[in-house]
Amino acid sequence: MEQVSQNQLLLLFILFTFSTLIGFGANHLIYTSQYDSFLVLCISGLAEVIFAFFVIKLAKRRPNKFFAHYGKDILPTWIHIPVMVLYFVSFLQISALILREYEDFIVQTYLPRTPNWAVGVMFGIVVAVTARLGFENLFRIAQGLFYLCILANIGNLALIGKELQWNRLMAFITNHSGHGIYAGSYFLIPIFGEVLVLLFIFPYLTQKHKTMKSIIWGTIFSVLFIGINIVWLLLLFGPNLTSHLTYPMLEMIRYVRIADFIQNLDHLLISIWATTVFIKITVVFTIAVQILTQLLGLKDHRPLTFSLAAVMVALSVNMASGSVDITNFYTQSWATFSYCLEAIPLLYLVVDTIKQAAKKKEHGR
Amino acid sequence: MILIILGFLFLFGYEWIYLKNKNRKKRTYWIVFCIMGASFFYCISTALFIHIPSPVDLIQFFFKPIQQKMIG
Repeated sequence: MEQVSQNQLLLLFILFTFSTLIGFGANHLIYTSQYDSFLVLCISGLAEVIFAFFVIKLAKRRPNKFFAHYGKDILPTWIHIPVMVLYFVSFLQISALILREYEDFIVQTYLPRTPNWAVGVMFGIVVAVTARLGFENLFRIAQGLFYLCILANIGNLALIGKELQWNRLMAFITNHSGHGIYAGSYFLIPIFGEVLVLLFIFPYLTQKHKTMKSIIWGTIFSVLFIGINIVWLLLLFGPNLTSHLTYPMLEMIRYVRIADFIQNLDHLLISIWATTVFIKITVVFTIAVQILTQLLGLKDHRPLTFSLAAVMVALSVNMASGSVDITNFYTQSWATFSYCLEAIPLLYLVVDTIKQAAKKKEHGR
Repeated sequence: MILIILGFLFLFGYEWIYLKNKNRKKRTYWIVFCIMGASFFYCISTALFIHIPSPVDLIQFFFKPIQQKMIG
């Protein structure tokens, strides 16, 4: 079995939440929650920790077995197999969705008139090759890239400092909306709930008893890093302009100018950020491949990676006619679907607890 | 279309050599190439027909009304 350390898990989880939320979700979060965005982030972080507690509780009961295998012992096979197929399709769909968002971003900003499939194929090949290498290598890549990404982000925030409108700080205390907090949390909690992937990578972890601690620290750092970026966006553009920008982070990065002679640093910083998106897509895609491998009873996931990567790219191109459709999907139904997906392990946990209690009662007699 | 066919031909050869080197069972060959075939047909159909239903349509159909009610 491959070995992933708790430190690697912690760093990956920070990048995992940071990547897409900052790149693609910031405008919608600010649109719904405005100056309450940071509060919403804290609520979502808390929800992530509570959810992770239950996921870890379930995973710890059979620490060296895969969910696809031991799920049959909890729920009947005729329920468990369709559930795993649902997870396989959903993870493939999530990786395709993030890939599509990345394709749209690249095509709209840096490669105009390039077809989406061209960007998708290039990215898909890299994802497939990395997924073929397995989780251990993927976590090592994330560990290496983490410091680079966070340094670039901190540098960006420091350089933008003088452009900020500090008088807007008062609005964080005075401007609140109950509905904004509710709607923002409803949208954001499922994104933090992607900690669900822990259930599928648990057998790879070393020092499993420290997992909860890693998740708590990972959540604190994620909320902190994302929160600072969101606050900076609000102080720089204000809530109205930020929510109408397609990629507010890109616009913020474009404000960076060093000593009037180093300008347009966005290419450098965006290329560093793109690696975090690559990591997220690869993690989700590898989980999809592993679920299918375990369901089919294969020894090795490698021969399936390229075929499924082709499906992911085709799905990403086919899923919508334009970026507006993707935004609609993301804002109109994605969160509710994610809640359903993330509630399934809780059902397994409840059934398993009832079964264990019944067994104990029988033994007691 | 030609690119898809060429890509999958290369993939077929690559995976065949990989499975042969690892001395995999006949069952593994069947599974791997059936999935590759399904992947090929999906890619070809997305290239030929633009409006193939995707999981996104299904998710929108079921969950959009619920989310509208939840958020208001």
